[in-house]
Amino acid sequence: MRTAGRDGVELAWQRTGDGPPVLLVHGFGSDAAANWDRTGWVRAIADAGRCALAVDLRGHGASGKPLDPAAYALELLVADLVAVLDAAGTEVVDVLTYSMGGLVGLELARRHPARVRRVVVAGLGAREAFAGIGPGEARALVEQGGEPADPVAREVVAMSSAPGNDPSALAACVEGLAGTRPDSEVPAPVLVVAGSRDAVADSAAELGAALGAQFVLVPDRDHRNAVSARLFKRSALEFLAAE
Amino acid sequence: MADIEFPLPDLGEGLVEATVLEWLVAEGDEVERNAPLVEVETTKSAVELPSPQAGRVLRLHAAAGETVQVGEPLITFAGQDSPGGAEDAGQDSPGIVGTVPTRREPTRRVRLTPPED
Repeated sequence: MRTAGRDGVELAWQRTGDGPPVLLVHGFGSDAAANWDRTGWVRAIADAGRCALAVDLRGHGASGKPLDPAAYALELLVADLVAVLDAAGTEVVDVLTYSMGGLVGLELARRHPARVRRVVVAGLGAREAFAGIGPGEARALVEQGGEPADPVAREVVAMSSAPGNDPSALAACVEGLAGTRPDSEVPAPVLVVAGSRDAVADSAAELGAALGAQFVLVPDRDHRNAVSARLFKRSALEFLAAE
Repeated sequence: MADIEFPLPDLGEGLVEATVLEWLVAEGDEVERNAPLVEVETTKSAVELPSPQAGRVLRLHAAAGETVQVGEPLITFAGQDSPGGAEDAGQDSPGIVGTVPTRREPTRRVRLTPPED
């Protein structure tokens, strides 16, 4: 399905399964297919008797890829999710997020508390978004490539160069979201999940504490491979099944 | 009947190998077709592979942490005469759904696709 965001950017999304809906919000440089489909999440959600609404964030996957950093303001990304919920005819939703998707999912819950029941935030720490990448550095970072020492910068470089990605759009996304903090109060129950070796989300326990959230640490997983973990799936689906 | 061996499928993007993260089944387990089988990791991402058939797991060819080349044996199921294996074992050669399912049944979901679009 395709739906236009508030400023006209086209958003690609898919609905799978029947039952109470779960909105899936992927991480930086990924998309719904890589983050949720190939990792078995869509199948697990459908098997749990839920409906998966999986969106490609702007700048990602099959959605529009604006090049202006201002197009990646958090408010606009939240408006994109609202547009998809409206198009899907979904009033109230549970939200499942990974990495950068958590910034958007948490802000959706803050701005639209009546529409968000519960939020799962995985692979996200308590620090501001893209900490370690200075103002105006994102474009040079994705153009230079290489392997920066900073784990966040390294992840940005790796994801930007992945097949199908537009490095310029992703650099704009980094600049537009840089400095966003994830840790202010959220009016919904939150579950925080992270791999024990996730260098990008090594402050996830602090985020959990700041949000008054339940916290699950997935042993021996890093930012890349915690996504598919059975413990993550079981914890999240249990949390989202609660009344 | 002969046992049925499945290789690691082509996971796309020109990747030639993957590392087993965690098996979601054990040797001796009866599994359903399309049930989660194994998590593997490529240099790009983590992928969960669903079972290509129903049946009893005879052998897992790589332990967690081991790397398997695309096309090398990943899992072997007991032959069709074993309990639970008859229903789904086919005449053609089904493959694990990595990117290209080789066999589809109209009444059962092989890959999850949206009902609309």
